[in-house]
Amino acid sequence: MTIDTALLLSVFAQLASPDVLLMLCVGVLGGIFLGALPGLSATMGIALLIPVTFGMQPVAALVLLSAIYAAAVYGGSITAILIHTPGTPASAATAMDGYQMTLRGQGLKALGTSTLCSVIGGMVSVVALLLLAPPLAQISLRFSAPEYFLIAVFGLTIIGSLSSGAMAKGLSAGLLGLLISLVGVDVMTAYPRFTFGVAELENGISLIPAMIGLFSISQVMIQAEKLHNAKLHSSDVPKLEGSLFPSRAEWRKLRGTISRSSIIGVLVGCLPGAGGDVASWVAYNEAKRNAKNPDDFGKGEIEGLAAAETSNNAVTGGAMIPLLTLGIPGSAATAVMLGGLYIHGLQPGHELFTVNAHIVYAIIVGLLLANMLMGIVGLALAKQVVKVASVPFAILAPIIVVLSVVGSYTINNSMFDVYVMTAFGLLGYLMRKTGFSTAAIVLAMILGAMAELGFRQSLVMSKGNLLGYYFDRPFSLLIMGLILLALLSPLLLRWKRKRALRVLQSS
Amino acid sequence: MKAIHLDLVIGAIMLMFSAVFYSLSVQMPSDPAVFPKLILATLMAFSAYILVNGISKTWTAKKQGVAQERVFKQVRGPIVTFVALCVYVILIDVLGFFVSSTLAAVFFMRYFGVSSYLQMLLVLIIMNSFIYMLFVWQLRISLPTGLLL
Amino acid sequence: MKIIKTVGMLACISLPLMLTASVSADNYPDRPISTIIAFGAGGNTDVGARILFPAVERELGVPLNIINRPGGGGWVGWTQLLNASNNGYTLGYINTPNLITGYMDPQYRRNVNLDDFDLIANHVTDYGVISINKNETRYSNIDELVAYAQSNTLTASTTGANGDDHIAMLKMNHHYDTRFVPVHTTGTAEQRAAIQGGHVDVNFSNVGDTNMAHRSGDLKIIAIMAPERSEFIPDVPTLDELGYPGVISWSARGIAAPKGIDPDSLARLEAAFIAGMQDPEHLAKMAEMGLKVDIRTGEDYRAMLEEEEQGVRSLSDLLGW
Repeated sequence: MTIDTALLLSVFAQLASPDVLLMLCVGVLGGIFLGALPGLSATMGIALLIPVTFGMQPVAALVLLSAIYAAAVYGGSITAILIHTPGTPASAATAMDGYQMTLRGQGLKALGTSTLCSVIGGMVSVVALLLLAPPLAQISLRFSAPEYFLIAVFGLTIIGSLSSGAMAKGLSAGLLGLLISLVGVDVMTAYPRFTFGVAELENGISLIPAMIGLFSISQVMIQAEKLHNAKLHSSDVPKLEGSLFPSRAEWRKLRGTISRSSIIGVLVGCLPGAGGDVASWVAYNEAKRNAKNPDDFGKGEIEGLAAAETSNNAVTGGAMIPLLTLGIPGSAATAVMLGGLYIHGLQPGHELFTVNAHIVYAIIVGLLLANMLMGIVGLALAKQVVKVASVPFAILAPIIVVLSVVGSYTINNSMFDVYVMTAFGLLGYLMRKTGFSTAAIVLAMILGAMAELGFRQSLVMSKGNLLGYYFDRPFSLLIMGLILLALLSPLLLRWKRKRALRVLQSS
Repeated sequence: MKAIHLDLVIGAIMLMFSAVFYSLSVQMPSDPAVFPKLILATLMAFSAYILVNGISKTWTAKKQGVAQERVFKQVRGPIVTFVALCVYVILIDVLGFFVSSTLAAVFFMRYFGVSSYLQMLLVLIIMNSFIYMLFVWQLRISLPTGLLL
Repeated sequence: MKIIKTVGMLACISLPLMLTASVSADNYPDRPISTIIAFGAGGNTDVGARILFPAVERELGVPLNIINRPGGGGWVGWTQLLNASNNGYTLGYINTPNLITGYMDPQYRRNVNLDDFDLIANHVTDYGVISINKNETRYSNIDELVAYAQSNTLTASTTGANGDDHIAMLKMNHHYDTRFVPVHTTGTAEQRAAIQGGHVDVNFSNVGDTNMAHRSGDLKIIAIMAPERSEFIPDVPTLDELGYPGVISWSARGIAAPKGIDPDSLARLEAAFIAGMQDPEHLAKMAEMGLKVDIRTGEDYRAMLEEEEQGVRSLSDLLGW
């Protein structure tokens, strides 16, 4: 690739304009903020701001939208780590290990790690967008229904090990999540399943209200138990000293996880049918499979946190690859951004990178800057933000409850979603008390519909020869191999350990 | 009564739940019914397993004369929290979002032990104005206003 | 303090409402109008409305507030619209064919029909197109496609069961004995990926979401299912021209109110929306998105929806109703 000096100068001239810089800051700060609030996702932030951008220059407008996207995905992790309230579905996996770290007094380190990982994931994805967009877009077109089905199955293989107690309970929680994902109008036949004549149920049970209930409301209820032991005050809250950055030894451990998760994030991001919520679970699964201590996952393992956070931010740049090159959005948030591109007269496709190159490269470089700014802001504020975890419960609880209600309502302007949130709050509390995994339900809700639709679409596509169809596709074979590995590796590990033990005993 | 293991109860509830939903999915047209039936059948199997496991745990505990560990020791806090949340959510349709949120926040703060009125007032003002500015002004979302309007 | 605050807040919010409650339709509209959009923020309907509304607001002199109520293929929003007061302060977008298939499909048991709405104006009509992969070798035009599909089963991607793409596909099978089987997707993104990646044999979609890909050569549109060619893809012939009459497909969206709105208010709204839709800036932005602004009001709009109703009814056997 030759570097076009004129183009480069034009890109920097555009980015240096006060308008664009202002939008960059507004986007990053606003995005972190929106992401951290339960229920307000990147998708909604972008959708609601598109009309605001009507009067702006295209570069300023799109830098604002893409900065919000990246920052909101990162922002979701902050509340997930500190108060077990994931701001977006993409940070549900973060909450598992992140909150455990906070309980252990490592909240600051969890925040620092999440910030660094988000920035790394984000930057890797923007570099991929800058240099590899056309080939990656072609790869994304090779994925279709069979691959989506298999990716979902791969993500689901982790369910059995999510619950700390009995495996039967973990799997049952997953099955319940799958069942919930089936509620609503069936895409293939338009038959309303389990809707009981309620129009609100026809689109299915919304993921975000359910997740807010399962994670945040159940957390408030669990905290309320301690009420009669002793008044809850700051003495009860874990100490929040310690380092902001992972130690050198931890870095060494994280290197592999971060690079794998970045790649997973970019690839999943490229796929039109899957976004940050899917990527974070797939990366978590991979990290766990490759870890020396898979049993520590879910108990405050820094690798689990790093995997989820790196991959969900790596999705942001990845999702813009098919958006900008093919006009096919790679995630829900970029689908909304497509409308923003059209409105500003930017038609995705080859033309965008030739005729409008100065604009599109300015947007991409702007996204790179947004990721850097996000890291700077995140690290600078971490010491202040972490104090949220030490706010007395009596003050925090009403705020969490009210924000959960308003967040659930806002998604579809619907009180029905608030009822869903309430019901899932009770369900989440009962499940957590009896050893079922709430994370398994959320995971199955994310992947269940994708698995079913992918399978049934591929049934039609295969024209009767289903097995032949699956075995004829290289990517489908690759993912099948990964699934086999994921299922067999625990057995393999146990066998190896046993053999090592026997060798030890005999010597 | 205390000797019954919790898993027994959970297994029984899950079994009933999945049986009811299975009977619902039998009424569906065959194509969309495949996945629900598959999932529910598996869920029934797991429920049965948990149920049987619960029975055997109940027996061994009885034989050894050990009292079951009680999972739900302190239910009052969570129950009050949940009921208050339900009342709050119902009130939104009657009184509107801001009034009922204010009432709910006051209740929760009192119940969880905030004694300083100044602190309460501060939280209320910051919370309401924050939500108003972000959601109503900035994002132009119309929050429920209740029956009074 | 709290009580004072509460009372104060109530007074502030309710006062303007009490004042307006007694005002007659003469000075309609004198406060903001809510418009329910039955699809999510950022979708095609939503973006189209947000482009249109500033111009209509100028005509009416009051803001039009958008309320997104997605869900149930549009029916969550439409149910809310039908339940709203007919005082002219709640309007909504209605989208075909979802609206029509939604109340005609017996498995939903909906007791609704066109008479439950007062129609204001149609906004956009997006005609259906048939497209194929750019590297397709088995057929390159509609004659070859139809001939091939008469003797082979071909998969066709659509944006959902009972949607306009699905109905168009069924019409082809019905009239020309083709053997298309539907692969329903969750939206245009998935659909475009399926045809551009060569995972389905043919794609039934709309001008709005395929015209740019056609112009840039990412896929090939071989026919438009419209009475005349589209200005966005003038090189593509209509099915009728090509000798395959009887298959017209579109999805349309327009503004409606719950039945029984005051006739003077209705006329005022109609005039404002027509003027707003003719605004040059609005027309230019819609054209950039490849969306055809198709202004129809009164009987004209109603006739268009009734024609659609008739078309769906004639296919009820094929849809399995």
